[in-house]
Amino acid sequence: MNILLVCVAGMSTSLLVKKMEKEAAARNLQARIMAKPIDDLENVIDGFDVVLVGPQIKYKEKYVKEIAERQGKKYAVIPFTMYGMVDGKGALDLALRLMD
Amino acid sequence: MRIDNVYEMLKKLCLEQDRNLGRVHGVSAREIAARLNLQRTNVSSDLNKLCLEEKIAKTAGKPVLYRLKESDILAGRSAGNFTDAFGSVIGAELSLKNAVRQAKAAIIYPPKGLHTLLLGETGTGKSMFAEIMFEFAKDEGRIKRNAPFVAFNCADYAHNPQLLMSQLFGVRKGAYTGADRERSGIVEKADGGILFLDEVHRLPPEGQEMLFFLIDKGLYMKLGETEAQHRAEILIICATTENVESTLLKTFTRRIPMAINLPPLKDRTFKERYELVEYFFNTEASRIATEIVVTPNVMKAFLLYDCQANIGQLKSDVKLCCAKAFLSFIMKREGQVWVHSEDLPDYIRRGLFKYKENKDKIDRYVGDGNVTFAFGKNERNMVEEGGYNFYEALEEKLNVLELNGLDDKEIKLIMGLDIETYLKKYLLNAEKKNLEDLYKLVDKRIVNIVDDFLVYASKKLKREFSPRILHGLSMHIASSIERLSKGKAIQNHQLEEIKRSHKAEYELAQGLKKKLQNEFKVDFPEDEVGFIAMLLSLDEEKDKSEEGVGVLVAMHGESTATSMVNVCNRLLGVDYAVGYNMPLEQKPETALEEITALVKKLDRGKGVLLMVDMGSLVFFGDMIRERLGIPVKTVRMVSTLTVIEAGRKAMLSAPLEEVYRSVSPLQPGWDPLPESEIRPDSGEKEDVVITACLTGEGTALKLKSILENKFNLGEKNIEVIPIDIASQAEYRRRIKRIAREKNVLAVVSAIKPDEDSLPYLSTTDLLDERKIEKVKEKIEALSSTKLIANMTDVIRENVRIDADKFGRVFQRFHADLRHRGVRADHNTLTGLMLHIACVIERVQSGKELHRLKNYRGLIRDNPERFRLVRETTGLFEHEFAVQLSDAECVSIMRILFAL
Repeated sequence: MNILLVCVAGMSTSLLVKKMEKEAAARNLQARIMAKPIDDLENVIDGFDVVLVGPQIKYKEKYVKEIAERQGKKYAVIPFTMYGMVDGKGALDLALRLMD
Repeated sequence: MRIDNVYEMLKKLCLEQDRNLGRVHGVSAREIAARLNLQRTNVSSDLNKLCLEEKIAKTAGKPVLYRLKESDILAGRSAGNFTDAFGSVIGAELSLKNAVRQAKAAIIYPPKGLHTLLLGETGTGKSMFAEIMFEFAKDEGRIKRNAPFVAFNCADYAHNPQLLMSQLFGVRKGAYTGADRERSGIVEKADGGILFLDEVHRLPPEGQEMLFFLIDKGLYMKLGETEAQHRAEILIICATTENVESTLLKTFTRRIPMAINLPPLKDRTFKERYELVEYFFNTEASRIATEIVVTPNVMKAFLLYDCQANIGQLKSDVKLCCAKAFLSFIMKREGQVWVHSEDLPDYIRRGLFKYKENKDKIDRYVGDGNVTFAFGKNERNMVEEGGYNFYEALEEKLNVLELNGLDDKEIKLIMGLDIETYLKKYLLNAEKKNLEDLYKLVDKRIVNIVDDFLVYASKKLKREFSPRILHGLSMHIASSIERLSKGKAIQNHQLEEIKRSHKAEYELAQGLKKKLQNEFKVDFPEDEVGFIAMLLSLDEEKDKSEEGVGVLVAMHGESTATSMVNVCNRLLGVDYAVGYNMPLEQKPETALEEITALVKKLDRGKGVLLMVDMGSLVFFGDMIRERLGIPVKTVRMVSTLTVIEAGRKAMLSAPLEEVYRSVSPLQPGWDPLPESEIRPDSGEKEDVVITACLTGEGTALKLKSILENKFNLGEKNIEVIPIDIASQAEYRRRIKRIAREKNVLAVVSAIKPDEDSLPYLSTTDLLDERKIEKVKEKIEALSSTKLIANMTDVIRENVRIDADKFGRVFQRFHADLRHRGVRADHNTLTGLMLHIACVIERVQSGKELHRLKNYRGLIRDNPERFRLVRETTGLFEHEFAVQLSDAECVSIMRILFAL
């Protein structure tokens, strides 16, 4: 399973990535989780199954939607409460729900 | 001889009145008895003897007041040396004895006295003490009668050393632009007298240097002068709240030989604290020229609550309560101003929790009656004997408490204390009467049944009862039978507690109940059985700490948990709860191991209650339960109050489930979720806006929809709760209830709630287009402040920077943005805050930053915005000593402006 997180610089999202990786390991899930700047989305999306978008670039949702749909990938905007708590468990669940 | 002591005390009090009030109205036997810790009856007989011998006089009327004879008052006045300036200081003979002795020595020391440093926490009375030293110096003739006393607070000008220096030492004409004339400083003004420098630790180095020169040589210079040429003869008294061991103060103590310590309030005796409280109430009574009546519980609370800022705070707290009480006095037009415990702010009322433990020490000051303060005198009301109805009093009390919107927990506490007071009153009143008298008051049948019962109970309990219990219990039962036969209810708020802690007495009381029911054909409720059991057990309270549920408090911080646990254990008088500190650097994994070990140790077969503050600690309980198979329940958002309650319950051997349930409703934001569903953020209170109206929920609902539409509250996760107001009391109660569980951002209504701490918006504000913007801003500012505070906790756990500092700086940054007209919604704010925190962490630890493509193009296209980001983020660069690259600023700009 490959999960991509995007925000402006891929900076704060990397915190969440760490938490999600920990959570995945705890659940014995094989997962590759990465954070990238939104500008790289088009180039890297191919290697991932789902895309989670940081709430601070919710305004880019349309752009993400276009690319994701073109590539046949699912995406979701992370709620700011979950993001703000750096809730890795919640974010992982969110990604898993997208894949179902 | 006792009679001599009584006379001396009377003399002292009368002369004090003369000195302080300009007249002597007299002193009661009770007051003298309280001061000397003697029986009132004994004091009374001494005073009467003195009257017969014509050594003193007494006034007609009740209560009888005694006073010195006029000639003795005059003699006392002219002698003037009955007490010196320090004599009127409360505690001069107790906690301040040493300080007073030092102060006198400092003033009298030849040839000109010693400069003095006063040390003490905020509010310990340093300024007052300095003024009294000044009075003493005048009385002793060390300085002239008209000598000046000049006080100067160094903190006032601490941000501007030059201004401070000019204030202190004066300015020479032409010293700087605008110094168009010669100005004198306060040193010059204080010449020949005393200069009091408060908060002297805030004096900048150049000021210290000049001050020391003045101390050493008696010379100083004004600003703009090159040579110290002015002479001043000054006694300097400095004051500071700093620890005397601090390096700064060491330079002072080298120069200033006399250091006087003023003890904090908590180190002073109850006698002194009582006198202080008394003095402040008297002052207030004179101020409002009305009698102030204070209930025993209020007195207890004032003697016991945690008064951090010492006497200064005590004084303002008394004032505050009097003001509140005075307000309801003018509304109700009562004859006196009444201060009840339910009027006290929470933190003062908490003092009552310590009553049990300190009972012996303060009962002699408080007593069972109300205290009336009036125009500088105080007189305790005698407890009325007979005709006193226990139940009416309790019922009335309960009504008042409920009306005031107190919650059940608080009502229970206050009622519990009251029940004990009332019952004790019965026992004490009963003591004196003999059996014949008792028959006059109480149906003989009752007395006989009770008498038989006591013999039986005494055998069963293997314990002797004091003779007075026959009277007390008989009278109590007589009045309860009377009440029950009238069909009135009996309510006992301590019932559950009594059942558990006085099990044997309770069972015995059941037997008495049966006998009484047969004889008098009235149905005794359980509540009444509880009262009987309580009476039986009152004179013998034993500490049984059976093996119960373990209580473990785990919190973030170096010592937060242990100090909270300390407080609770001291209040309960038993080392029951155990604290675990989790320093911020501590890895959760380590903490989990250590807490697991503690739980294992604490479990005595009944499980452990784990009380935590936040973060990962919330989940530990479940993990430990699974790992060890020991029942563990987790309570979040722990507070001192919840730990006390848990400890109390646990000590009574309640099972884990019950201990847990008893503290859960005390928690803010409590929701009865099963543990597995506990989310880490569910401990936080939800933001809500309350809309309220008098005319039913219709208008409130309309307001709700206006608010939601205009302010996008749904998007911000802010719920709007519409309520209708049936009455003012109902309104207050509902708001209070909501405020306990949620974070109330604003109350929107035509009527202002009397809870001042809640932001209030009037209905008309909402309908006025111009005001809507303001309201919007207010709501946004309020909720984002909260968001930032919450995020600070998250950052503390996840990013290795000084999170508290970062939170503060970010608040300022956000305010700056708003000021510049940049609005950020919660999505943006959350991301931005995390982002900047991460950037600072990376820059500080020298890690590589992510590359951003084409950032130069963005700068070119948005020059204004880029400049704004540069300017506002300068705050972070400054506070955290980091440099943000252009690329970093562009990232921030993109988040902020949705680029």
